[in-house]
Amino acid sequence: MSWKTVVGLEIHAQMSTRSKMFCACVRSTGTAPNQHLCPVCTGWPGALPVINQAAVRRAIRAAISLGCGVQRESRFDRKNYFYPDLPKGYQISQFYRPYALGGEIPFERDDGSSGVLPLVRIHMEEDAGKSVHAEDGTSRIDLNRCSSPLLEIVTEPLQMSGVEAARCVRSTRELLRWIGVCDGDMEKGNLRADVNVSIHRQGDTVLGTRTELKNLNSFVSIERSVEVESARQALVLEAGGVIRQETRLWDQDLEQTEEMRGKEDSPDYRYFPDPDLPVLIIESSDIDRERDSLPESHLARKTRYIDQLKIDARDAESILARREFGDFFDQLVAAGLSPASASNWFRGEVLKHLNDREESIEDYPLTAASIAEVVEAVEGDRISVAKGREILQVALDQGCSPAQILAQTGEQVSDEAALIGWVQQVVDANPDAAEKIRAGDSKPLGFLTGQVMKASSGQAHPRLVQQILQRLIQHD
Amino acid sequence: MIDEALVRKTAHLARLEVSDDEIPGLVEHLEKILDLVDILRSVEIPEGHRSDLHVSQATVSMTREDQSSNPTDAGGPRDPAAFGENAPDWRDGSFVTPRVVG
Amino acid sequence: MSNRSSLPPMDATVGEAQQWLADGHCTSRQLIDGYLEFLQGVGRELNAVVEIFVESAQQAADQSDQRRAQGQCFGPLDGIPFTVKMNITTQLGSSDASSPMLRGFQAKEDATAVRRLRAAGAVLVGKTSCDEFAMGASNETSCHGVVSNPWDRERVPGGSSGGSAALAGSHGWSFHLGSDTGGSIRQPAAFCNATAIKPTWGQVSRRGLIAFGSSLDQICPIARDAVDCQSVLQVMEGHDPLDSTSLRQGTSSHPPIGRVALISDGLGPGIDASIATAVRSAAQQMASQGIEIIERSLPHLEAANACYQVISTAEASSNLARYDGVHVGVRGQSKDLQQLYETSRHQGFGSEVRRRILLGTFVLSAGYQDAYYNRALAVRDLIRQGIDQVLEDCDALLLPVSPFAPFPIGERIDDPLALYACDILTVTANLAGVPALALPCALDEEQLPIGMQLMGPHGSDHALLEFGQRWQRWNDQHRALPEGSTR
Repeated sequence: MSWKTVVGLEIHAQMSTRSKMFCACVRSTGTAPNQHLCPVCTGWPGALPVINQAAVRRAIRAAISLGCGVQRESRFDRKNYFYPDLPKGYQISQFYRPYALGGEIPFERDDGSSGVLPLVRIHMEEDAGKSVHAEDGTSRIDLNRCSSPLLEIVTEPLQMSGVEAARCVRSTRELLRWIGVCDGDMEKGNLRADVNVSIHRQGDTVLGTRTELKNLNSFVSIERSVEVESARQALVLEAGGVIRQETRLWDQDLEQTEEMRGKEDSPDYRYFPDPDLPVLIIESSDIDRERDSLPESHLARKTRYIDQLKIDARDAESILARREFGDFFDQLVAAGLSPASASNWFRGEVLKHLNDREESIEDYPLTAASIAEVVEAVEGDRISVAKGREILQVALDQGCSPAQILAQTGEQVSDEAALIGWVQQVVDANPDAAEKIRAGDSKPLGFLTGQVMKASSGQAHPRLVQQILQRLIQHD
Repeated sequence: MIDEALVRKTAHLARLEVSDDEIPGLVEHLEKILDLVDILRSVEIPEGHRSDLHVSQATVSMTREDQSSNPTDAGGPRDPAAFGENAPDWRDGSFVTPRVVG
Repeated sequence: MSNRSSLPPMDATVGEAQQWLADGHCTSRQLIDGYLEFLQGVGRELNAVVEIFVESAQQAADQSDQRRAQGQCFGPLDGIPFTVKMNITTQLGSSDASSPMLRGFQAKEDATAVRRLRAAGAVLVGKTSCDEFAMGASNETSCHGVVSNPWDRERVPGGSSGGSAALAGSHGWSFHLGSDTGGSIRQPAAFCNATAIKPTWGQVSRRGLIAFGSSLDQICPIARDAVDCQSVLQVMEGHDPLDSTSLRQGTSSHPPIGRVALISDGLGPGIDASIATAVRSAAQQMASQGIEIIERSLPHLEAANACYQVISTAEASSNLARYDGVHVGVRGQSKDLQQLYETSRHQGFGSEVRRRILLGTFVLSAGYQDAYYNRALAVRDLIRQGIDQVLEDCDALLLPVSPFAPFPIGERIDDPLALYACDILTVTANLAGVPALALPCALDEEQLPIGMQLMGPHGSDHALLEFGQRWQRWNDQHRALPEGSTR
């Protein structure tokens, strides 16, 4: 029995705007409950929605990047249902006339080839609030998230594995992060997916009945739930049963899908055009403006780094991991560093700092220009590499600028006479070490170099010191 | 066309409680109204007519800047306390309901 | 204590009261105190007013007097008392839409229209009763009790803005805010001998109006005459960034009305003979003043009420879904969420509101939406086009407001369809979004008010009001107060 699994996705991405979709409340998560409310998002009597321009612009950018056709006229409709996290008793969405049609998500197939998941449409809508079970048997409703701007990306069904489905979501996430539309934080629920799964036999002309798994917010859960659910459906069908079209719950710990009790199979949402919102007009000039403001695509940047700037492909990968990394790297190059230097210092220092300080690059206090200055001093042989690294670290720790510290740092000493003086001093003081080196053991060289650095209060040019040490010891 | 089952189903969609004694009255009422409304069927709609753009042609697309408001701006109260005061059950800064299932 | 001899005559319009203040015959504080007395007396007897704001009104009146003393009045409404219908939010008091569902709800914010009026110096003195959630034509479904018609207290004042109209019909000096979705300001105006205008849809911001039928609703002024209504509209109207459907362009200027079409469908069978006669006489009176009168028919008039029933209830069923017992409004008892919704909404909504929600839910539901809701939208477009066509060769349409005279309290309340029949002549303006001005016309044989309405093209609100002002120079029915009103 060879079953083919078909998956369709509905990806919800919260757009990274300052305010909510239809009101001026701050769009945020992670604060105390119900801090960001107003009559509009709380569904008070007399309140009316007003569309957030920035959400529309981000939506256009997403559509362009996913290859969709942006519609000149689209409309908002009310999706009516009762749920405590939906205070108006309806969600403002786009049902009949979404703003974008078609498009595709590129992803890597299991066999390494390039796959494409066609899209049906993308539409804008508002998010709901959150309900949390309390210990006393009640639920606590937090409306902070309510009415945040969402994009819903609806794909066609396509034959694929769970791993491939997860890759589709990953690919979408990376793209949306890249163009600054969504921060892709799945833990916070800013990106989540509803997964529709059906199976059919090879040769069947019709797709099987699908079940839906909602609000999956990790790649693992997407991958595993597809596998588990298609296996479950196979068992049911092989035993002569039928698959009911329903929404099922994914249990991550038990790795199984469960029936949802008490949930209506196909709720009647009674969609109708929202009379409080006029038609949304998106002119071709709006689309052009967004297209022009899109950042260099991931692919174009990769090509530029590897082919033009000759960065090693593996090194390029770390710089390409986030658009902001590449932006910083480009700034280093613009400040005068060679691509190779910029790459080394970015990966070796900046990324290391971010890691150590558990900081995101948006909060990184050092500017590319100030780092470039230090690197130039190193490459100009005025200070050692070690010194350069030290300066950056101190600047970070003390919260001041590297330029300040650089100005106070003396240049390393390259004068041979002075260097010979210190080296001779140290060699005389460490005859055993010198003897070992003469005998062919190069290990103590590092120790002796360190001693010279100490003797010179860190000012000696380390590379020259090493050369002189070797020369002196061999000639003695 | 209108029967008890339809009235109960519709009432449930609207989360309206209907007692058994209310049913006959509601069935009759709905029937009467739908009779009245039947006249719509006799109005001739031109071929290809579309009503799907917007209910009123008099207004045009409108959006607002992506700015978050200060509490003193027009646009209503932002103080959580105001929402708590008008809520039927508000504890520890949240709206409270019976357990939400599903 | 107010010294009534220095106060303006009881039937004085806002314009006349403002002149009285300007001439120094009394202060705004005295005017307000006098009006508060009226509210606490007749206002309460009619059961028209629900909340009265004594202290804040007196404070605002004092501030108005200070401005007047310094020659810095804000305009024609400065120091003038006004009331607001219970379905319009105010910072002061509660805004309960006359429903048990919202009893005690404090909006903490003025609706945009109210904010603008108070910024113009108008003094908010109270909130008035209305039909629950503005659904009604007799003001008999208010949770605050039945309101009486000042012209005959055994009769209804009309609805849903019955409270506003009862006050406007029994005393001058003031103006009132109501709302109109299918006739809710015009019909009570006609029943109480007051003047009111339902503006072009989008002309006045709906922010703060507790929604009933969003694509039909407007906040409306009701007062003693068309001059007053225009003064109020001028302050309220204009784009509001908090209402996406509020018009952005200013109203284009329309030429003065010179050619009026008498709508014959509004004068035939089904309309009380005395009303038809009164409106024909009005047309003759206009003709004698040089207005050209032609006769026209309104296409789809019979279908208009059906169209209105479907669209208004559909929108209402959605607008009232937020009253679910969870975050605002009354809550019933239950340990189960679904039951909680049902008991809350049962406790909170009266039977008329529940009936309309039921119908609205039905016409939007799967399997029926196309035949009912979508069809109603298409018919609405035709109605709109029909109005535009008729207005191509005239400036305004003239017809009665109500097919019948103010009826006795209790007569129609048990027959919803009998109440819906009140709307047949008024819904067309809401469906088409065009402005409609209700003007007192005459009294019938039983000395009950008869009102007529003028409809004009989109944006012709001020042209209509200016015509209304001319009419009110030719005909003084609007000046009448109910017999026995003490001066």
